[in-house]
Amino acid sequence: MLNSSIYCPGESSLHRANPLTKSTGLFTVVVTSFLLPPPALWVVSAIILLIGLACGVGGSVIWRYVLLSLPFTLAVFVFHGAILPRSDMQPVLGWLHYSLTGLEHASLVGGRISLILASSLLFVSTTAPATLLRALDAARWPPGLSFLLASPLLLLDQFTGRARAISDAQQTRGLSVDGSPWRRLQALRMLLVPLLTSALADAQERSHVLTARGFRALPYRTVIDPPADTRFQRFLRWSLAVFMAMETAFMVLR
Amino acid sequence: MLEVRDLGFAYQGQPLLFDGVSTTVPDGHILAVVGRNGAGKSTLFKLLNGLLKPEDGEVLVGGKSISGRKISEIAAHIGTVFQSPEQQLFAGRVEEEVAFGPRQFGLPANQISERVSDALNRTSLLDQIARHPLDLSAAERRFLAIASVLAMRLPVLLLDEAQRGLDRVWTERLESILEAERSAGKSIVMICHDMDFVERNADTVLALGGRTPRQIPVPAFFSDTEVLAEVSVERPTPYRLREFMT
Amino acid sequence: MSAITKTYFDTKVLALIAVAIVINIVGGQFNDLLRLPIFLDSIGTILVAVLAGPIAGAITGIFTNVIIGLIFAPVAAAFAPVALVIGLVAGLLARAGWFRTIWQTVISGVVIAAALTVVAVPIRIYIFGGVTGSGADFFVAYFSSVGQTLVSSVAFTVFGSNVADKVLSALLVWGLVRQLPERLTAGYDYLKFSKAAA
Ligand SMILES: Nc1ncnc2c1ncn2[C@@H]1O[C@H](COP(=O)(O)OP(=O)(O)O)[C@@H](O)[C@H]1O
Ligand SMILES: [Mg+2]
Repeated sequence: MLNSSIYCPGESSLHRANPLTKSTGLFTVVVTSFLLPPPALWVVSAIILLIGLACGVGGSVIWRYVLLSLPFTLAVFVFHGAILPRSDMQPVLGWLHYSLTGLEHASLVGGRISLILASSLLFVSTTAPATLLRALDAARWPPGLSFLLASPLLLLDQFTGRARAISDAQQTRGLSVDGSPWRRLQALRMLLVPLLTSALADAQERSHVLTARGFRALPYRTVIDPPADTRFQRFLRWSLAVFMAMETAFMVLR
Repeated sequence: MLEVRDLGFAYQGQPLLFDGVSTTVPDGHILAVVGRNGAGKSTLFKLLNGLLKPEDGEVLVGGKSISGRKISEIAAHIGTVFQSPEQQLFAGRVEEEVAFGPRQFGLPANQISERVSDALNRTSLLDQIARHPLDLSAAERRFLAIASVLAMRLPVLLLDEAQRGLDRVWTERLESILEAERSAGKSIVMICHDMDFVERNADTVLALGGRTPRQIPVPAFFSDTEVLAEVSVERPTPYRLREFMT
Repeated sequence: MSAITKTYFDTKVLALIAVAIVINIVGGQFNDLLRLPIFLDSIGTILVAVLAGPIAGAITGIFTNVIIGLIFAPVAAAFAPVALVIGLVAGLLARAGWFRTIWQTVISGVVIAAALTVVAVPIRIYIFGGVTGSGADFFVAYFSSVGQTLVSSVAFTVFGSNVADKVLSALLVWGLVRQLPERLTAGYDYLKFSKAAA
């Protein structure tokens, strides 16, 4: 489940917003999460999940949110509330103790992670990687950078298939994947070496192709259909940037 | 001898790909599996070598069922040459690559090296013994994969498009290896798009993609226009010529 | 960064980094098959570091985590600095010739694990409160309940769960670059520092 990609196609206004605006929004939430008190963190997390519902990605966002944040939240409350020794530890029952300051700290850390997680899930589930890349190109980021984001995404399926084919081929030659730990370690080499070698061969080939296409000739790439942008969104991005700068200054000076 | 009895299989959430497929490859026999792309040729190989488990029916080698065994155990009976050998080459030297299979059987060193040089000799790779597998040409790499399987000396061989892209010299080498393996009593199954190659080397054909896949002797297969159309394969040159003449 | 990618890297290194990122992401697939207690998520990073140096290694690490964050698990992005340090330190070690013999490589693996611990501990403690919601939390809990401070509990756990993985990854890369044909490694400037003299 967690190994499939998060993006859910849709037509909501969040889907249609420029990825740069959305990522600025995400960064603002992340920075702000270091200033908010625990109750606010949890309330804003809930609001973000509701926004996800309104945008039609709620099911997948909430499901992943629960799956990822539940074990963490539990761990952080148990660990800070009852295990990590603190001066205000109170006995509850037998060996079980609890600490109020620990629970408060857990609520702060857990709430912050909850907020960051909810908002990044919302961002990722409404932003197709390809659209994000086009937005970066349109904003004239250097082609090297968008290449490093784009080509792994494009190669991922191919390499997953290749890894699968390698493990098939080696097992039909008698490679056992369930011997002693030592045997399995040796098996690892037989699986990884073909994958790495073929990756290196691939890299050589691609670099020839890229060079031939004049990949580095221009300082930026021209985009044929840049994601829609509006004056309002540009204004919003600048305002959020200023707001983040102020927050950061406040945190540093405090 | 390789026997397939009433094989049934479907990929998850898809209609049945195989339903009651049976075929027998006696000792010293070459079966060609043909059919258009997506007909299930590669899937059939995976059902034979254990990478996929059949839903119905079973696969027998020498009269014993191998269905349900671990892939690495089936590897002691059935050898597979995959379409792209790059997917299995891992060693730094040709020699080490070929030795891998026999080593899995725990043979003593002298027997392993005897098998390695024999297999490399038969695939015309003996003078490449110390080279890196990836420094070989594409045809040599294909033959290295074949040598790795030959060195295991197994009763059943599966070859997926082993003839594809080979020039005349290498094709002849492949044909003489196939002939030698057949004479040695091996059961051989090959996936092949090249009908001339099938006509020259195979004894029977299993055509996938039609209504009920049947195993047909080569001459009967190429004379049966209905089956040929059903699985959409070209007739080999001699048959086309004959048609032209009459 | 843009200056770096524009002038420092030729296209060859960029193409190498791209496939290495994919290896980092896909490598774990073999782990599911073999059920070994390691991560296998930085083999590509270490390979790049040995072939193309610390900066290329660092970039491989950062982008790996950003991409994982973007498509699978947003939390991974928070650990991008850790991945950066793995690539950086591996590259510096390679430059210093510490990927030449098997024992040097083992030590390099340990050093990489130690270096990443230094970066991972503050991230884990400040952002995540010292736990991650995974099985490793039991070790953190154990160490702190027997009187270790939070910092040292987390540090022991991070180092302990990483050292085997990094030593193995370093060894795999070492074994690989030793046996690769010239054709596949031509043009990577850093490889000469890892060529065994003996
Ligand atoms: N792993 C898989 N999961 C689902 N369907 C598959 C898988 N592999 C192949 N198929 C489907 O099964 C059918 C047979 O495929 P395959 O055996 O590869 O055919 P062939 O080798 O004859 O071209 C095709 O329709 C293909 O799309
Ligand atoms: Mg096929």
